[in-house]
Formats: sequence, C-alpha cells, structure tokens
Amino acid sequence: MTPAFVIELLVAVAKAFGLEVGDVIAFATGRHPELQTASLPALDAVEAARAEAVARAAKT
Amino acid sequence: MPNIKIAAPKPSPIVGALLGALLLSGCTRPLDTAILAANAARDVGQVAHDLIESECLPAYRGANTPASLAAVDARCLVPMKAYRIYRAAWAVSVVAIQRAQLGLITPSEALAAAVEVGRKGAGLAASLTEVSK
Repeated sequence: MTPAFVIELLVAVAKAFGLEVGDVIAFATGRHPELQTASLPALDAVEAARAEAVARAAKT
Repeated sequence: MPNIKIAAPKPSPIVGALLGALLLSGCTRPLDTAILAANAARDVGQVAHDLIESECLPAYRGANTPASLAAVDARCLVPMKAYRIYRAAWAVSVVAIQRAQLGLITPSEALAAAVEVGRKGAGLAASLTEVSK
C-alpha cells in the first residue's frame, strides 16, 4: 500500500462521509476538530433588491 | 491441484485508525461530533446562501410590476425565511458548542443543538427546490 493510495483513500472516505479531510485527520490522530465560527452571511443584498422591487412595483 | 495460499493484505495502521475513528465518531466524543456537524452545517448554509442569492437577486432586480414581484416572491420568500431560521439555528449550535467547551453545558446538549440544525436543514433543502425552479 503506497502513501499515495492511503492519501487517495483518506480523501475518498472523507468525501463519502461528507467531512473535511482535515477533520478526518484530526479524528484519526486523536485531536479535536476545530469549530468554524465565522458567521453565515445574511441575505442583505437580496432583501435590498426586494425592497427596491417593491418600490418600483408600487409606482406602476 | 496445488494448494495456493493467498495472504490477506495487511491493512495500513493509518487507514485502520481512520475507519475506526469514523465508525466510533458518533458515540465516543459527542462534542467532536457536534463540531463536525456544525462545520458541515456551515458549509451547507453557505451553499444555500449562494444559491438563494444567485437566483433571487437578479430576479428581484428585474421585477418591475406587482405581478412580476409576486412571481419572484412565490419562488424566493419561503427559501429566504428558511435560510434565516437555519442561520439562526446554526449560530445557536456554535454558541452551544463553545459553552460545552467551557464546561457550562454538557457535550450532549451541544450535540442536540447541532442535531436541531440538521432538522432546520431539512426544511431549507425542501424550500430550495422552489427557488431553483
């Protein structure tokens, strides 16, 4: 079993489980996965575009 | 007929550790499982956000009449609401995990918050089928 095969298998297993490869390595090595805390984006642009569309529609 | 013995291949220790960790991940370390779930949920949320924005932003920009606005609303309002709920649930799960890391709540409670994101994700996924029609 070559190192390339092991890496290929690692990536395939991670994808199959829907996991990040780094997270899987963290599990395999006993480290804790790192929590991603960057907030999910809001829908500000869409909401602004809707507000403008409402204003345009009201004028017709 | 010659008796040929084929030795079973020895599994790599790395692969063994990897598969073992994956198989046990759901029951050994609830906090790690919650973190993995929250991270995956964040990725899902980002994809949902990008899909809603790519479909609804140009649609609203092109809506100039009450009828066209109503048509865009019919496609976009429900997914937008579902995304807001999902985003809030994800934020709650992150805070729950951080509280569990500080020992303020149990890891199982943090995992429950992550599971709740998954429930909200089902609603989000269902609503996204409308936006991409």
